[in-house]
Formats: sequence, C-alpha cells, structure tokens
Amino acid sequence: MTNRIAFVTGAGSGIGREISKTLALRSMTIVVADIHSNNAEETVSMIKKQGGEAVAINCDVTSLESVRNAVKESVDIFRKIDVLVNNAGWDKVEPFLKSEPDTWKRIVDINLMGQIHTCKEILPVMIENGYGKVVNIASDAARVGSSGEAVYSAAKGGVVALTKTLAREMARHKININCVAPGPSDTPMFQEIGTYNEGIKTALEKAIPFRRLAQPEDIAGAVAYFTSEDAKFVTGQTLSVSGGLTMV
Amino acid sequence: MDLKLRKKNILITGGAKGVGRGIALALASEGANIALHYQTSETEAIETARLIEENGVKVVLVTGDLASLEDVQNMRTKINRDLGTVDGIVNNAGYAQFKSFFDYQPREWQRELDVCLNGVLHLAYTFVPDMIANNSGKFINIVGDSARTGDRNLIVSAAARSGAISFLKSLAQDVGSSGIQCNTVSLGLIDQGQSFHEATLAKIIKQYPLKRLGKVDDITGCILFLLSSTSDWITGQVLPVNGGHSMV
Repeated sequence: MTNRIAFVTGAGSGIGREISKTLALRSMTIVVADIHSNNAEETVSMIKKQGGEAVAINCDVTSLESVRNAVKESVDIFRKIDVLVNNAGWDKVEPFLKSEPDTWKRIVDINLMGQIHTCKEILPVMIENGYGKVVNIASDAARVGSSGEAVYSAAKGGVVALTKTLAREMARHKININCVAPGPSDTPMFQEIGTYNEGIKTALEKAIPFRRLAQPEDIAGAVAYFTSEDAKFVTGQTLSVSGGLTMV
Repeated sequence: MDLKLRKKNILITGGAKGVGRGIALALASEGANIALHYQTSETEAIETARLIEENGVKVVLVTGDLASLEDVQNMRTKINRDLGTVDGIVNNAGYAQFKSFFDYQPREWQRELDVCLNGVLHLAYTFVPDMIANNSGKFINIVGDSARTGDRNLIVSAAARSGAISFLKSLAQDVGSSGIQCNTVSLGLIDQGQSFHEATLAKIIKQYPLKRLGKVDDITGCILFLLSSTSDWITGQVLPVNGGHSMV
C-alpha cells in the first residue's frame, strides 16, 4: 500500500495527538500541525517511539496565510497530502448573554474558519493527487445544542454543514469528507472548562449511558475508520462518538 | 490490525447470500465464529457455511422466521448449545414489498412490520439478556436509507425500520450500563445482481454523489468497525453507508 500522508491540526495535544498516534499505527506518516510547536514536537517523539514517521509543522488555523505556509511546507517534504483531519478546536463555556464579541470571534475563527482554511488549501492538493479523505471534528453540541456553548455549537454546526456540501462538491474527485462529533471528552480543553465549571464532569457521567467521558482514543477509532478503505462508500456523514449521550 | 474479533460468537441473520454472506465471510476472516441464520435459502446457506469453515472458525447454521419469537428462541437454544452465548448480532434479514401504499390489500403490510420491526424486538428480547450477563455485547441492525428519508415505494418497510432505529436508541440507553452497544447501519442501494434497465440505473446513480451503487464490501468495513474494539464508545447511532445519497 502507498505510504499515506495525514495532515492533522491541533495534533499537539488531546484528541489530535491520539488521532495522530492511531493513524501512525496504521502506517500513515503524520504532519503534526499545531500552533504550539513544543506540543507538536512532543507528539512527533511519541509517534517515533511507537515506530512511526512524523514531522511537526507550525500552523495557526485562524490564519489562511499560516495554513498556506504549513501546507506548502508539508507538500515540499512529502509531495502530497492524502488525509486531512480538522481537529483544532477551542471553547470557553459561559452563558451566551455573558459572552463577549472577542470570544465569539476567537471561537468561530478557530472552530469553523480553521477548517475552511485547511480545506481551501489542501483539497486542491488532493484533487491533483486523485485521492483524499477528510475528517472534520465537530461536536455533539452541533447536533443537539449545549448550554454555555452557544457560539461554539453554532461554529460546529457550520462544520457539519460544510462537511455535507464539500462532500457533494468533492465526490466527483473521489474525495470522501465526513464528520466525527465527539461527546464530552476527557481532554485538556475539558479540564480547562472544569477549572471554572465545577461539577460538570460528575453531571455528565450520570447522563451518559456508558457512564464515563470519552477518552481521546475513543474518538481516534472513528477517525481511523473514516480514513480507511472500509469507509470508501461513506461521504457527507456525521458520526457521534458519545457513549450514547445523544442519539439523533 | 487486530480487531479483537477472534473467537467471538457473532449471529448474522439473512446470512445465506448477498450482503449477509459478505459480512459473514469478512467476520470469519477476522477469526470470529459464526451463527449463520437463513430462512429459505438452504442451499446457499450450506455453501456459505462451507466458505466460512475455510477460515478455520466454527459455524452453526440456524433457520427460523424472525417474525416468530418462538423460532428465534429455538435459534438461541441451538447456538448456545453448539457455539456458546452470542457476543454480537448483525441483523441483516428483512422483508419489503416495492409498491405504493394504496396498492396494498388490507393487512398485506403485516409481514413487513413483523420481520423488519418485530424481528428486531424478538432478537433483542432473546439474545440481549445473555449479553447483559456477560457485561458486553454488540447489536447491529441494518436498514435502508428509506427508513430515514422515506420512499413512496417502500412505504411500509421504511416505517417498520424507522421504528427499529428508534427501538435500538431506547435499548442503547437501557443496556448501556451493561457495556452493550446498539447501533444501526443505514444503506443506500447495493448492487446484488438486480437487473435494472440501463436508463433506470443511470437515473438511480445520478442520485449518488459517488456515482455508483454500493458493493457488498462497502458494507463489511462498517460492520467490522462497529463490532471491533475501536468503536467501543459509539452507541445509539445510525451510521450510513450510502455513497452520499442522503446526508441527514
């Protein structure tokens, strides 16, 4: 099998790191794209330790120029990108009426515009290459809403819709584009939320039929499925990985 | 990659030919033991069982009408005796009539409801208690996309299968704390050697962004994923394999 190159954003920590490690175990070479270079380097060492190949590339997904440079750097090294995982994300949980425009902008820039930027730069590379799999990380908040996450859920809802339309436009190029919607996950982002929202973890564990938060590897399995040939007839779809918290 | 299916006992209904046979062989090649259900296609079922055995795994043939709870309970008795308790179920069997609602005679729709909805209830009622006792299990029901989008010529079976989707979501909530996953796979039109007029086929394919009908091995990947340990946090979901035909 050809060596596949996977470009994973936000790959320096949490779910992005686990996705990178999982894809590397499936013989993909990983471009660990992250705004925090130290974290990206750490992920690269972990992948190398498990016998895989990876490079760290600095990438601020909120800037089209930064994404363009990161993609150029990757293509200069590997000549192609086969798989894109749009994982970079961020949120600040607070009631909508207490939130401020600067926060809204940051949330939309990272969660929605970030994925638009990488698609704009990477889809042409895939079209030229005649192969491509894109997995966009959304959130169950996009599907059912989530108190304290009004703008985040709107941005992630945008990701779900972006996935469907791009899947239609790219189908003629045999590029599959799908969406994974994680439920509440035990990640650095969630731990950050826990510092100012006590009790959220216990409340969620009670509500989830499987009685636990997602671990990053739970999400990585679904991403790996969409990037595999097992899912070659699947496009434009959204898969919740939520321990049964939501069923839409 | 080891999907951890070795020596698991998986029941596949409607497994004599087509999609069911494909799924059975894919699972057998991963080392799973197969309980192969058929209703009328005995010759094909025997041939499928022979092909399964070539993988060095155990196979038990069971026959019965899923519309009959008694038949399903007899299936369990035979499987438990010859193979052991069932770890996973793939309900592929179904029954549909292709016509407009007003072309039905009164009660002519009953069989579709009995197989496509009551059959799922019968399987769950009979086999899930063993899974609860084992504190693990995976139940997959296969439906057509018509269950979610409607189809004027599949009006009754689509309704029955939509009911089955809802049933599995509720069941997922009920048995989640026992580590049991219940998911639905929703298919587009699969090429199983039907004879379409060329013009009809072209018209159908136009509705698929990936511009082809599904193949049996498009489905096996999804089933393997849902039965494997990489999808352990996914429950109550509908996972489409439909070439982008619908994106709901």
